Amino acid sequence: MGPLEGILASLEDELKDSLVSTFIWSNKEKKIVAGKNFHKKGGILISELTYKIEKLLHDGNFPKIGDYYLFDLKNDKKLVVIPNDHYQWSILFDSVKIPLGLFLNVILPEMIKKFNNIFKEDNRK
Amino acid sequence: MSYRIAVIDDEDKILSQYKSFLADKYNIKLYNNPFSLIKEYSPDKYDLIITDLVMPKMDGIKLIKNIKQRNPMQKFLVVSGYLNDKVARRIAEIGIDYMLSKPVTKEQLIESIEFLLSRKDEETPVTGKVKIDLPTLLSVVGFEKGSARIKVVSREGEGEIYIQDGNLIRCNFGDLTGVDALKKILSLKSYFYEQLPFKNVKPEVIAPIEFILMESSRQIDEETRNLGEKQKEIIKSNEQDSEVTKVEQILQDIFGTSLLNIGIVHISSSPEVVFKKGDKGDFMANFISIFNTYHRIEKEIGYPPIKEYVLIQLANQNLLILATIENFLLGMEISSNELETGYLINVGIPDFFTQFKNLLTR
Repeated sequence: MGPLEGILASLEDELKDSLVSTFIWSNKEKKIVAGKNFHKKGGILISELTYKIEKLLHDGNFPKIGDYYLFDLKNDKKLVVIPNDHYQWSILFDSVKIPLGLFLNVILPEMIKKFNNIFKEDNRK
Repeated sequence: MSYRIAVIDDEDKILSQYKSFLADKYNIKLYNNPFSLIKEYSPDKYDLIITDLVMPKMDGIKLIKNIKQRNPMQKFLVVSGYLNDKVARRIAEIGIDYMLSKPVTKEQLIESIEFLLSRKDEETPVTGKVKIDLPTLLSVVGFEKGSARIKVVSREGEGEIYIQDGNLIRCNFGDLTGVDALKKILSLKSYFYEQLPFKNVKPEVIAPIEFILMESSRQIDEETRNLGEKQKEIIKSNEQDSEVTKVEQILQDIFGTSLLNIGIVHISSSPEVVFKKGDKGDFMANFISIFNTYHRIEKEIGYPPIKEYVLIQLANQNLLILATIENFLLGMEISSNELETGYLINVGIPDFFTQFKNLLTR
């Protein structure tokens, strides 16, 4: 199991059946490199969304996107996207089955830390 | 005896997911292409066929047409990420029973299967619980000069619509009848409808369904516009009437000094900032385009629509919150120093939205 698959497995461990869909899009390869229950077109569409947000923030003299952005969706779903220079990680989950406070304060920071550590380890190699 | 269900999808991962969702409850057979099913199919083989729409070599619509030629009573459930209005219309035309947008949960899938298979055969044509909305169904029936009998249930009451040869011939909803009843039904914000077998009734009115749809849509646009103008005045007049506006009071109470920038934009063909605070308040109008970009994701891969807000964590740890409430876009930048994200999402933001909505309805 590669590091990206490993991080998806740890997310699945945390979210269990509240996880609806997740995938990691490679900015360089322009394709989804790991995922679960994802739609093939999801990667390009989410990367367009991230680009749009980044451009608007730049045009409005706001700081860049920090660790994540979150969409509050109908049917008790939340979409969280964690972008960095190399990849974009999308997570669609059911916010009834997993309390949002727990996700934002405990699970998400842990996942972001693991996600970013992959690149630190890559740089050390 | 468990129901016999065939599942067709070209992606093996999705087939495995169906297996994990359904195998313990139903007798399922998986196919990774439509040709294998067509080869093995016989009219008494399956109670239900679940199919994807977009598949190489033969798409789901061709498969359904092929099977329906051999067994018009075969029940289908379409599960696809491509259920836009155009596709929904094509599916309606071939008389599909039920549709779901990907991604689909185990609960949604089982609920839909049980609903479909528990219904009697004569009750099962097009059911618009999920993607075909009532105006789309009516416009298909009107365009084809067809006939239909549709029952509508909402919190405001129940009604029935009779269409013959593309004309409304009878309609009732609560105390209303005829065209007024149909216009009322079309103005409902939420409802459930089902198509029942058509039966001949004495016409009480003869009005082309397409004209009623056009007229109704024009009226709804006008009402929305008028309401928007009224609400815009509420926000603006507050600003003129008192030193500290009502909006500012609410913001101050909830966010205190952590609110750095806010722009409240009246959404119309030419968006107008009706309230602002901070040097970036005016810029908030530009964020409307994020909602439009997300709308493509919703349409193309079937993610749910945005419910209330978008939250962007900025590199300096501040939070940018965007929301559409009625005819307004709200853009707020909040400092993360004083308020914790969980508190903001669970308490601060919902509280502000509630109070803002109350202000609009005063």
